This record gives sequence, C-alpha cells and structure tokens, in this order.
Amino acid sequence: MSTQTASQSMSLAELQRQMAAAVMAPLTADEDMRANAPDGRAITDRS
Amino acid sequence: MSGNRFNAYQDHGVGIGLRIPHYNHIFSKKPVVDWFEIISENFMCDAGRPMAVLDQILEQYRVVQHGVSMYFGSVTEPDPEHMKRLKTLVRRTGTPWLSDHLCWGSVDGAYTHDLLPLPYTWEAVERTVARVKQVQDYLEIPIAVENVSSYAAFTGSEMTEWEFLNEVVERADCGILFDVNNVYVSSVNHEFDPMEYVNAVPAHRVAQIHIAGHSKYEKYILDTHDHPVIDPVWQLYDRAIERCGRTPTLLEWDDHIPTFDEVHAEALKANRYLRKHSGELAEVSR
Repeated sequence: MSTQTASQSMSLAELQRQMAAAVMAPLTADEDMRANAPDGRAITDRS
Repeated sequence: MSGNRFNAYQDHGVGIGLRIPHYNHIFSKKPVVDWFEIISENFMCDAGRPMAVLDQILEQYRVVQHGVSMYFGSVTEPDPEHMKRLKTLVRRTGTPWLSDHLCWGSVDGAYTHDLLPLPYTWEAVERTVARVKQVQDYLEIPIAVENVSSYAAFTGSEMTEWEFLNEVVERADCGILFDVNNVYVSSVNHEFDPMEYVNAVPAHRVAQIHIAGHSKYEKYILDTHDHPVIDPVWQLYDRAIERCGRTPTLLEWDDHIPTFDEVHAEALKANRYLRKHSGELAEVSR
C-alpha cells in the first residue's frame, strides 16, 4: 500500500494547500474516503 | 560517554508516555520510572488540573517534552502565541531537549491535526531546515526531529526518506528522535528495507528512540500505538542501539491502554538491548 501523489512541478505551498483540502474533505455517507480529490482527480492506490 | 549534545548528554534510560489512565496508579503507587515523556500540547495552559498533575509529576520524575503540532515542514509560519506558550512550558518542565515530527500538518492557518508526509525535495529540505533553526533559536534547547510513519509517497520526491532526514538534521544541526516502529511501518507501506534506513541514520545525532506497537491490515500497517512491540521492530531497535550506544528510549502506547505495569514492563524490555550493547550481556535471549 502506498498512495502515489504527484508533486512534480508543484510548489511545496501549493502541494500543502491541495493535500490539506483533500485530507479535510468530509467522508462519504458510508464514512469512507472519497474516491476523488477536491480537484476531481482520482485518489489511487497502487497496491 | 553516553549521550550527545542533542540530548544534553543525558542517559535517561527507559521511559513511558505519561497518559491519563495511569495517573491514579502513578500518584498512589509512586512507581520507579526512569522518565516520562509528555505531549507538550496537553499542558500548554496556565492552570487547572493539567498543570497540577504536571507539577506533581515534576516533583518526582524526569520529564521530556514531545510535541505533535510544530509541523517543521509546513510552509506557513508557526503561530507566535503557540511558540510563546511552548517556551513557557519548556521553562517549567526543564526538559533537556524537545522533540516534534518531521512532517507538515497546517497551512494558511488551517490545522489538519495529522502528521502528514513531506515530499522529499530540496525545496522541502530548505523550508524544514529554516523552521527547525527558528524553533531551536527561540526555545534555546536542543531540538530532535522525529521520522514519521507514512501512508502516501510523492512522485516528485528527489531522495529517499533517510536521505531527506540526513539533509535536514545536518543543515539544521539538530538531533533526531528516531522512531524505529515508524521506520518499520513505512518500510512495509512503501516497500523498502528498514535496516537500510537504520544503517543510514547519523548515529551521533540520535537524541532519543521511540518504540511502539502497530496494527496490521490487509494492505497496509497503521501506526496505532496500541499493541506490544513486535520482534522485527525490536531487531531494528537492537541495531539502532548497536550503532548509537545507550540512547534514551521511550515506549509509546496511546490506544487500548493497558495497566501501568503492563506498559512499563513492555518498555523495560528495551533494557535487554541497552545492556547487550553495554557489554553486560553477551547475547539477547527471549
């Protein structure tokens, strides 16, 4: 299990703003993580 | 000589985290404990029960502060009021060193209350080094940064986690709180050799070591601090002590907390390895 998150060509500040928004997004009604980040990109699991 | 300049040349021995379910036992039984680690944020107030408890503990025990919200890798500046309260607590406890995590967790005033991994980039090295130096200068005590367990990695990373740690501590001239359980957890989650990590850490900068248990799930390991330490983690600890020498060691147990005696007994298993590498035992036997 290791979620690969893109950070290339993104500043540290922008990465932290985007990741904070994703981390603090409400869970689904079933209390699961959302399948997509706030910007619409899929949150993938490479395992 | 045991110890180094990052732990004020202290040989603290083996401690445990100070946790509320153990208060009554500690105050009534007054057990012999080498030292307690406190979570700084639990005592950053002016009065009330937390401070009464702390003062009572300080009368009898050595205390070292460990923080969970410094976020050395965050791009936004730390809250000045938080820093001021932290310094007040540092003066009160007389902690010989202060540790917090090599991670980020807040941005633009929003706090995630999580220990989030950094991308291992040169930009993150520079940001983190600046923050560690800033905190070290302000608090006027040695700082030790702790490697975190992580569950996500970044495609843009330019080095390994241990290379990142080494760059930060060398440039900031700070110590390391080396968490061997976190090394194990991340090694499983990210598929690297944990012993390579242990062998790469600059031993002369290790101020303290954390040991803990964790929870294993189907696809990953979670750093839950709710189990005894497993053998592979003890093996990493064994090697760490072999490289670093006697190092203040702390068992973390934060959920499903058993009795004080059970937690303390688990922590004291570390003495086997401390003695082994002090030449008092030829071989560890379990």
